[in-house]
Amino acid sequence: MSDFQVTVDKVLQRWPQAFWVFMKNKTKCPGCFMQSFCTLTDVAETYQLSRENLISEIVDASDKGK
Amino acid sequence: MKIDPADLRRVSVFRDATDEDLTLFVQKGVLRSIEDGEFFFFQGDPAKYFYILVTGRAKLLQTNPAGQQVNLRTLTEWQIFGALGAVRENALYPATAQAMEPSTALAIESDFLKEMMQTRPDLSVNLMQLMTGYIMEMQERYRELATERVERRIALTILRLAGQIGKRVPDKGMTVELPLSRQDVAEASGTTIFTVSRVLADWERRGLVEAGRERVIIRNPHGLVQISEGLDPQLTDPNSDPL
Repeated sequence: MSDFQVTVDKVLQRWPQAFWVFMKNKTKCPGCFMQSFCTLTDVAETYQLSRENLISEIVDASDKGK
Repeated sequence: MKIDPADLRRVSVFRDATDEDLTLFVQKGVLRSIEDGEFFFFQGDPAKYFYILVTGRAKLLQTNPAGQQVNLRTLTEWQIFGALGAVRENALYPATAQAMEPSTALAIESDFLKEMMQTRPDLSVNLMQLMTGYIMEMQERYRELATERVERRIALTILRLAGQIGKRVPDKGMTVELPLSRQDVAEASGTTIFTVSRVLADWERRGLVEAGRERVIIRNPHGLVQISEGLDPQLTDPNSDPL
């Protein structure tokens, strides 16, 4: 499974620092009931963000959080 | 600053008044200039004067006992406000009038307007027109608030339940299916099946959901999230005053 198809709940479980990335990008994802359905691709489409940037921001945030 | 009586014709209530009457109103009036953030009157004060905003901008706001403020209306030049004392005995201002920039208003005793209205039907009719306009506006807002509240509740219920028992429909984009009837949704959201049917039919038209006999399919989860947060673009008119 590509990173793009990971759902938001899995992302947040695996990389808790991603919370701040979702917040920074002004998404409603943290706390949303649809977390287990939305993939990063869906998030990028909904909020018109670049998928690649979103993933690299999550990776950066997680590296810093360690 | 001096006011030309003819300017008062820009006030809706005075648009049919004679020059002599307008001169009288100006003579009886007192000009009050206040700074940004200062007040013309406070909620609960005796409504002895009515006001006509001559320059600047002001707002009418109400405060509840807990101190929360609600902006009722923004006032612009040549609008009349605080005139209920001309119609009601011993009236108190139901709202506070606060300037939003340096402002000047003409304050005239409400008793004088009351006296003039006895013999000048156009003043009464124009004031009634203004009042009925406010009533219609408030009814509209009340309806919007009531509908918005139930829509938010239903959206939140569907999203919450979808988070627990929903299944993503494969190859259909971001689509989630829920094995719920309208009755289930009504019970879970504390409303009636009629309301649920009406709201779902509206959402169906807008492409947000698809409602079957025993299932609800969410076609646009983000749209529902926006409704549940009170951010439904169809209910939010950017031109209306903030309530």
